[in-house]
Amino acid sequence: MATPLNPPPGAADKLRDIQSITDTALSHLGAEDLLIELLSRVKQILDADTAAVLLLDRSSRYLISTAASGLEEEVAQGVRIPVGRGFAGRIAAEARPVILDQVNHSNVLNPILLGKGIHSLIGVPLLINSAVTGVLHVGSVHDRVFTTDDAVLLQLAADRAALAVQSLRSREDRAAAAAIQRSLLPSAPPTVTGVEIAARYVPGDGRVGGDWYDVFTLPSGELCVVIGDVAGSGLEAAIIMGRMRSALRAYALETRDPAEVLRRLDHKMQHFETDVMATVSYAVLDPASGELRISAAGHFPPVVTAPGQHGALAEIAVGVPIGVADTPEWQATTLRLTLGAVLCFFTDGLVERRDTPLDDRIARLCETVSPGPPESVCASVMGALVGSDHVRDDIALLVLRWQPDTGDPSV
Amino acid sequence: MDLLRASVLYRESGGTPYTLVVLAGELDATNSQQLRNLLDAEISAGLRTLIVELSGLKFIDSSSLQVLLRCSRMLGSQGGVLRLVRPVGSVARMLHFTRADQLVRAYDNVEQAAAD
Repeated sequence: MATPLNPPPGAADKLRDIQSITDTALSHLGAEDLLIELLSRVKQILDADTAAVLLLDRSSRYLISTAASGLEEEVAQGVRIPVGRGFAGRIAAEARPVILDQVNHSNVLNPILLGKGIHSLIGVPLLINSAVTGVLHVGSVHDRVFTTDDAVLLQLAADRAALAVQSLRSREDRAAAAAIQRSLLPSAPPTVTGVEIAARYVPGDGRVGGDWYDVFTLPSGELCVVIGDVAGSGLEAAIIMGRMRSALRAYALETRDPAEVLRRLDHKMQHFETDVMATVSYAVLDPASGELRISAAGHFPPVVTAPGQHGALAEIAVGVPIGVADTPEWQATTLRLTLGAVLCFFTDGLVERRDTPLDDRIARLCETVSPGPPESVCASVMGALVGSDHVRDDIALLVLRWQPDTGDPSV
Repeated sequence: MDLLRASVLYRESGGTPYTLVVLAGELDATNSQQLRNLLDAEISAGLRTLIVELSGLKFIDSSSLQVLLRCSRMLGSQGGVLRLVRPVGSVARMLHFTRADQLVRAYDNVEQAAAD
């Protein structure tokens, strides 16, 4: 077989086109600017009039117009295309390129494309790990026949766009999840005579998750303490955590029984959310008497200790997690705290490690929790159980000391 | 990271067919979706008894526990059942602390789980 001495005609142009799309200089742009620049280059290379990127929304049912060149009104008007319908919807549903030589009402839904006088279209899916995340399409106001070579080039641009969008989305999600955590974790616990509180929250792998703690007072003067963990991580878990936190606060105002609060919380979560599991521990302390009523849904009991005692997991009734059973039941346990008692509430991120048995870690925690000031207990616990470890799961920790004023200046 | 190893076998015990899923390694947020897809495929195949062998599993996080509990509930709603075999070490302790052991029963061996 003869080898051509010269590259086929147009090869140099093609190479230049590919370089224009894979240009590393594009990486220095933010994701939004990269999309716009990429669209404008694609439009130029394919000698087209319009280029647009639509991204799949969170429900995965609609494509939302996100960036455009020569078709800016699509973005401005917030065009939404149902997956499976119209031109872009078909590309998303079939996860493959579609070429339309002749645009008409039967193959295009979007009135903006029709109104713009576009005659021919070519579009490709944005793919991450073979899953469709959006659509990139290019249009011409003249009749023309886009080729499979055009589709290959466009797919190259779409792959580039998909990566940029993924990194933008994960950055945005992280920022949003962190903002939710920041706004919901109490910055300063309420001041209640006879009770001192300190807490820590550490995101796992730098990624915020569904752990939370909450401290608030009731009109009766009682102090409520919550610690919980929504399974999962990232923005979804943080949003659900926020909803659970508000719901629990609302039910706390309605009923004194912590187990009933968990029942209502479970009912609410099972009705309004799908596939949510959370573990929660909820306690109500009467600061005058030291009586603590507590109920737990699949959550670790707190470590309890007091002067002259060794720390141990509190012996309380624990029921199943929130969101997983048809007819769940929870019970409340009443504990009578002794003077100077310390309670340490925590989430699994503190004690679950791959290289050490869970019971060893819990034993270590129990040894570390001392009947001292909550700030120093928090510091010792984090020092002993986390140290400088790289933590994968997020950690919430809340320490409370019951120290009613007895006039003893030594404490 | 992919430290999960899973294998699926279809067996019969005394005329009762069941599916055996053997899990080994570590289950966490990085592969719980993989487990969910695997179990969902078995559930939608319409099976009635799903046995998950856990003795080689060293670690389980809450998102993976959720996958198991969800699977158990879905099977229950279609007249089936999820049974666990030999959770050990920290996995057994997590099942206990979360009270997942009240929702899904664990057995000492596959034969017992299949015969029950």
